[in-house]
Amino acid sequence: MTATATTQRPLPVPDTLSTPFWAAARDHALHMQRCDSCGHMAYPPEIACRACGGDHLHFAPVSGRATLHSWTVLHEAPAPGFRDRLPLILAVVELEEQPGLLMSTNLVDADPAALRIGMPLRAWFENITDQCALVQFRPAGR
Amino acid sequence: MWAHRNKVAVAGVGYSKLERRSGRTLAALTLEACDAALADAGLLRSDLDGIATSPSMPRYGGRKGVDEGIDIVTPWYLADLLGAAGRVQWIGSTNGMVTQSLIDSALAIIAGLCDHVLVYRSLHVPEGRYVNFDTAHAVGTDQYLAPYGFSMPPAWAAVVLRRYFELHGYDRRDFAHYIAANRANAQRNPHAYWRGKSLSEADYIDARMIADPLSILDCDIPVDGCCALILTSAERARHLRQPPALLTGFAASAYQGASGTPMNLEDMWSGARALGRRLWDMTGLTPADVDTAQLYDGFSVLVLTWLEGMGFCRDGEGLGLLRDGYGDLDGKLPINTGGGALGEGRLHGMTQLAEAVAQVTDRAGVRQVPGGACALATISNGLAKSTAFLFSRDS
Ligand SMILES: [Zn+2]
Repeated sequence: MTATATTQRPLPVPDTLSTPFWAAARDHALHMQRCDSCGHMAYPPEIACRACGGDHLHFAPVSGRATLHSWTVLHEAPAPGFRDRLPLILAVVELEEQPGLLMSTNLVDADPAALRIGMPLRAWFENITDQCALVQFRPAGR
Repeated sequence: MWAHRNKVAVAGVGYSKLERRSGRTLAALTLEACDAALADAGLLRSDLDGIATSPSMPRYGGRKGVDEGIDIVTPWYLADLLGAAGRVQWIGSTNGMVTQSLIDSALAIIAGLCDHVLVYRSLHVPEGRYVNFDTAHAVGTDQYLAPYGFSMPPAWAAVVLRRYFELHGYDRRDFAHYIAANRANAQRNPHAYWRGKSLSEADYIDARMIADPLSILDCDIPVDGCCALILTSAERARHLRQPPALLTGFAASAYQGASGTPMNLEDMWSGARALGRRLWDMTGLTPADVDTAQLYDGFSVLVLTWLEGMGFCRDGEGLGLLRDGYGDLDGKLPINTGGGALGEGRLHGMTQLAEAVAQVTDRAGVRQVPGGACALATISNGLAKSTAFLFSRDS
């Protein structure tokens, strides 16, 4: 253990690019960065659009509907702050708005044995601290 | 076709002892490997006029290598230690993978900047758990991963393996034959960390999960140690101690793929395919010309995406082929004949390069593939910073 060791879950430190994303999450809204020129969406936020090179990008709300792209199940905590959350499902989800728009997240309220690629998911926000809410996903319809 | 095909050669290979946690400094281990490589080539420290590495120390959540000689060894520092600082004409220090340094070094030789270049990779295992995000602050790209516990490379690879299994109807039992055979290859390699510790298929199936379905035995073993190569012109190499391993061609990639997750299956296939196309175009060769394949295996699943992406079989077929012995030492395409990173230890592709050299110079001993005249080495995960090389036997 180092001097910085913590038992807290790591919290995002917003920066110039990501501040609007985390501010929206605090309001329990999922926003994705969208290119003004071509409409391509990016996550995590980018400085310029990878599809067309345009540098006018703005955050816009998305539906929070997604499908399961892949997942893994952890039975040991990846960091001290996760000890009370095991087994932890780490998931990659594909947002409904754009093929290939992937997001790393957690699945909650899900049975690891029942997971299937393509299963429908819904975004759900968890307040981690007064200042931070994280977007998580759960099976749609639950 | 590349005008400098087979004009640069690897003339020597050297290893330090690979240990889980050595009591010696990384600088001492690095010198041991570099002197071994020089001795292998029949050269002296005073012959060196080029030196290159990627000195990065990957660590997740804690201190990233900052102490020269302890957890990193930069080429400037090493030049001093070797007494070569005044003579070195060219130094390479790349981000990404050390194999980019190998490309740079070959080009420095072709350009006439230097005659004998040392390419090395030193890696250190920090104290404590290798992967443990024990800070409360997730900055930069970590902010999109660490708050979810997605801060460990085994988890990134696990979602790729899961998707591969689910899409193609495999499970861990299908991988067991390959993993056990790979460990058997390591038993024939005097440098391998796991030499003396064989592994059964049942051991693999029962292994402790790190990120289900990825187990501890799907991960390479982090070690303290160093591997070094000596590059020179093919012409000069023919007058040195060992037969030269000729560099036939290479390819490098800046393909990022989808963001939002550090690795994903479809992009790793696409990236490997793009590298393959460049490599085959540059060399005029095809997968059918390859006698052994040294495929980067920091995680087991990468063997599959490389095998398929480089064009040896179709996407999703690779695991079935490996299950049936395709990659065995006496199979159709012997893979990671020295044990790879899974069996030899984590040296970020140097194991693949060193084994490719051994095979095309007839120096692989009891694991030598008869007639192994062309060896492929691929490094990293197929995405940006990945590289691929073909080495050929001198005729
Ligand atoms: Zn655009």
